[in-house]
Amino acid sequence: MKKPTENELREMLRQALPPVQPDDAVDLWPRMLRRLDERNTRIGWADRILLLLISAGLILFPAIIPQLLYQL
Amino acid sequence: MNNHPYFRAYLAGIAVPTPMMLGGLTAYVIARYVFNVPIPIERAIAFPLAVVPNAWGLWNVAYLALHDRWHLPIGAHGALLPLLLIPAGYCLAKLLGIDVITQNAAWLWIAFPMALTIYYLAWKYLVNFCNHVLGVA
Repeated sequence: MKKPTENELREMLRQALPPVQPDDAVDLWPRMLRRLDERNTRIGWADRILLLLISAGLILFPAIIPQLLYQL
Repeated sequence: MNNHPYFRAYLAGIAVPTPMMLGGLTAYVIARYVFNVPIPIERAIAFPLAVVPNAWGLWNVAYLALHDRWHLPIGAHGALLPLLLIPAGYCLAKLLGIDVITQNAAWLWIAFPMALTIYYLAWKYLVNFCNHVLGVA
């Protein structure tokens, strides 16, 4: 079998491997926007009750707001 | 997006408390300089500004590392964080002499379950969302 020359070898390699795109040529922003859009989170009823309880707690006991701000 | 998952988990974790710091700092400044509430702001701000965001980031790294073994929901994982932060914050406030935090220790019994609930909801919805956007979980 005839040995391929260097040019033939290079051409065979080019055909076998997909072209490589440099990282900076890929625009990630559209992919990011798609990810932001596809997530449609709905808050369950139990979590809504928890939110209401927290709001009520903050209204009833405003003295704990500085402590919460400090800890959170 | 399979590179550096722990670094991305850290970034997703700090993405939630960092913007909230703006609100917290604004509230502190208004309380201190508008309403003259005696808060030693330069000492009081150290814990929420430096410790809390990093704790969130590292806690999210721990979530990613332990999730396959523990299968703990992210909300419950987040709700465990105040168990570390509240005692640590209280000790630091005591060391730094931040009276407005340590004087009313009785309020901690109300603040504690509220903090757990707030963390549960924040981790379940906000951190989980950031994890999804950054491809962490």
